[in-house]
Formats: sequence, C-alpha cells, structure tokens
Amino acid sequence: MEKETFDRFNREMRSFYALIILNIVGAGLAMSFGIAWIVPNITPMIQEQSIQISKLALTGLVVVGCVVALRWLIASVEVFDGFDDLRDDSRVKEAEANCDSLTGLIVRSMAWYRERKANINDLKFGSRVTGAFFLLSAVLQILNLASTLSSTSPFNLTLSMIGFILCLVLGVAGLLIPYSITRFVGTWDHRIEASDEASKRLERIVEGQ
Amino acid sequence: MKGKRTLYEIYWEMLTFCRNPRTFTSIVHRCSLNSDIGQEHLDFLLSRGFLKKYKDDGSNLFRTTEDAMVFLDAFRAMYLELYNKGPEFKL
Repeated sequence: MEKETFDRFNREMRSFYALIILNIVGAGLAMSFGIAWIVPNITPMIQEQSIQISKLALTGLVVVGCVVALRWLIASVEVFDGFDDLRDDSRVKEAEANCDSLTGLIVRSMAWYRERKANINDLKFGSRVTGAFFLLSAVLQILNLASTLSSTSPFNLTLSMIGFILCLVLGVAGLLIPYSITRFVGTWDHRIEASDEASKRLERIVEGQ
Repeated sequence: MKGKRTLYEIYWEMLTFCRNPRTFTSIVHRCSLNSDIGQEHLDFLLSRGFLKKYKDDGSNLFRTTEDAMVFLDAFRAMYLELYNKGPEFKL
C-alpha cells in the first residue's frame, strides 16, 4: 500500500513540476517577447522625437503585458520555492519507503499547499491575462498581415507568420494553464477538507473521548 | 518544516521525532517552533501522557510513550487515506 501511495505521490509531483516549469517558461517567453517588441518600436520614436499615438498606446499595452508577465514569473518562482525541496525529499524518502517517511511527506506537502495556495491562484490570473494579451496580439498581427499582404516581401511574410504562430501558441498555452491549475487546486482542496475532518477525529482521540 | 501546519500535524511531528529520546532544543529546532509555542505543545502532550520526561546525564529528555500509539496510528492511517482516496492530479 505504501508503495502505491508513494507512486501516486511521485506522479503528482512530476505533473505539478511540469506545470510550474510551463508557467516559468511561459512567463519568461512572454516577458522577453514583450521587450523584444517594445525596443524596436519605441527607439524610432525617441530618435525622430515624434510621437505616434497609436504606436505609443500599443507600446503601453505591451508594457502592461510585460508587468503582468513579470508578476506571473515571480508567482511561479514563489510556488517553485519549497516545492523543489519537497520533490528532492520525496526521492530520498522513497528509498526509505516506510509509513512514517511517507506520512511526513504528505504532512509537508499539505503545509506547503496551505502556505502557497494564494500564489498558486495568482498563477491563474497571470497566465490568463498574458494568454489573452498574446491572443489579441496574434489577431492584430494577422489583421496587419492581411492588409499589407500584397506589398510584403516573402522574407517579411515568413517573419510575420513566425511572430503570429508564437503569439498564438503562447496565447493558447496561457489560456490552458489555468485549467490545469484549477484541477490541481481542486484535488488539493479536497484533501484539505478531508484533513479538516481528520483533525476533528484526532481531536477526539487526543481528548480521550 | 516550513508551511502552515495544523495542531495535530505538529503533534504528529513531535511524537514521531521523540520515538528516540530528544532534548527540548532539538524538538523545537526540528519542528520549527519557537520556544514558547514548543513548550506549550510539550506540556499538552505530557499532560495527555503521550510524552514522558526524564533526566539522563543531567539533560532533560522527552520520549514518546505507548499511549501515543493510538494517536500516531490513527494519524498515519487518515493521512495515507487522503492520498489513496479522492481525485489524483495529472497533467
């Protein structure tokens, strides 16, 4: 039974680890993509000392996107903190494979979840906003591409298509990640509720009733 | 251990750690408690007969008693059940 529980514990650890890595990569890509867009668009305006309102507004929007992506990145790293130790510990304890070490891991993971629940929910917000932002950006890019299709060189067309596909992939990923996080939170909330019930039963044992 | 633990999770940690005789300092250090809270929990577990205090070579040591086994066994069974029953998260 312990082996089965250990396996289940480790499967969940691996799944959530992959989810956090996805978040960190997504947030990092979103930030770098945003900065890569801001610099070439803002530099000509500074050099020519002329302000184009539409470009400035779009740049402002991208800056906001970058700030949200930064928040998303920080929240991901905060969630990662502690979880990584837990994951390392689970590898060590698996070698011991006894009931107490497994119970200890479960207690630690529950303590970690209670502490980090707010950060985990922050991931959903950051991911959703960044995903929506990139989908909007993909739509704008395809509209822009459609309007200048006849005068665009094949090289620029390829570059624009790559930009569009990147935005689309990041946008879809950003909108799918919250779904996985919601399932993770649901699984854990169920356990926390069950542990509250367990606490009541343990209280009766401690009080000698 | 970092994070938010319930009272019973802290008791479980203290009792499991004290399966071998331990000093007060090592208990509060291992269970990440401040000395006031640690003393409060120790007093409670002593009052329930789950821990026994004795002197050895001038040191005050604490050891888990047989009476605590009911609590430890129930705790372990309940927490393992949390993982064995209910939904499992998969990507």
